[in-house]
Amino acid sequence: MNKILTSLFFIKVLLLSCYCGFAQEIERTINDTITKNNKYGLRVGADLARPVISLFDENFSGFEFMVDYRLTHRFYIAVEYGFDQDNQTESNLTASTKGSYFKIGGDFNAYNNWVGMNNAIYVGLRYGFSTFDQNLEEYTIYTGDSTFPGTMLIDPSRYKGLTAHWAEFIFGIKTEILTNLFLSINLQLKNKFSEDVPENFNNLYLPGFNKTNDYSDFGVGFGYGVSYLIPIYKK
Amino acid sequence: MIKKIVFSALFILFITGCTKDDICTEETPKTPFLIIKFKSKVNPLLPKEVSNLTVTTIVNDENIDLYKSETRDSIAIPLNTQSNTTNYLLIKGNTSTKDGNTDVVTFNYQRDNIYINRACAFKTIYRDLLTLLEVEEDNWINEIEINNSLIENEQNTHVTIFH
Repeated sequence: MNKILTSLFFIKVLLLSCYCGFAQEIERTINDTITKNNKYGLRVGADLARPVISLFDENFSGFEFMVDYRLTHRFYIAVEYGFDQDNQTESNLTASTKGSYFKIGGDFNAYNNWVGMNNAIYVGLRYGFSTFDQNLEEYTIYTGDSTFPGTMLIDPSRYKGLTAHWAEFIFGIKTEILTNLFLSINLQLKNKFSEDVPENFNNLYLPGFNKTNDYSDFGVGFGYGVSYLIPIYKK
Repeated sequence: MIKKIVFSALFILFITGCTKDDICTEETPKTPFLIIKFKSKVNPLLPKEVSNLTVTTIVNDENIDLYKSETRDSIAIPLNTQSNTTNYLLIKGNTSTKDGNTDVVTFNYQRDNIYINRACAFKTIYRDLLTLLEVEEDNWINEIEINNSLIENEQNTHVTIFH
């Protein structure tokens, strides 16, 4: 049916090329009835939250690129790549983490758009992978006793080439603010299932996973992204 | 369905926002104290109290008392985590009127710093413990025995002093 209509349309365009205005009118009418003006393409963007936090927080710097590709009406494949440098200045130790991460997965748009709109309220899943260095700079010894004066011991340890893997659930909203330009905000809930733990230390931060927790494998995060859709075709 | 997922996600965000990693709690196993038991030199199986025992160490030319004129058959004392040697003055019969008999004991050891967690950072465990009693005219301590040269917890006696 669609093909026939399309063929008819093109024939009409060819035949009635002088009636351009009229032809466009027809195109709109046809597309409206069979909802064929959904844009499909590659959406590329970057996270705004990380560079903004980098400006205000001297202990953090990071950047993230995000790409998604629309597969079907509701499904997108999504990939994020980024790098983080985080300094941990705890009351009893200072350490730092530096590395990059890669996340791949999919998004499901649960929002029913009005015709011609491209907004999204979506949920997504990701597999996250990170390679990083964890460095311990200085620490105190916990004695629970004040007989001997305790000081920060400067005892640097370098743990290089560590890796971590996690699964991530994402909930977010995307809005088309200008033609093909999107703003998005998302919340991320992560659960790590594998990591290289430095000997006699721990990973206090994992790039992409964010702050780790001593008592659970959960991590949280958020993103505030801007992205541009490169339309490839309409359907 | 979506609403439920979102709500659960927000709830988990909320509860993980403040975690117990940020506070080093008292229950966390810390650097162990050295456990010393006092026993009779006549009958080495019998615990024997030391009367009016004062335990002192000198830190930066300042005397710090860990026990002051207490009568007891065991003590728990900290070892210096920044040095491989800690000296203690064990003073028997120290009261407000009498100085008592001072014996100087030196503890030598190797240290390993063990990671605990983010909030508490590290603790020290000691190994290869050696003790040295400064010999003088009237030592009240007869003999020092090392029961455990590895000090990683406070469950066992590390040193027994016979007197």
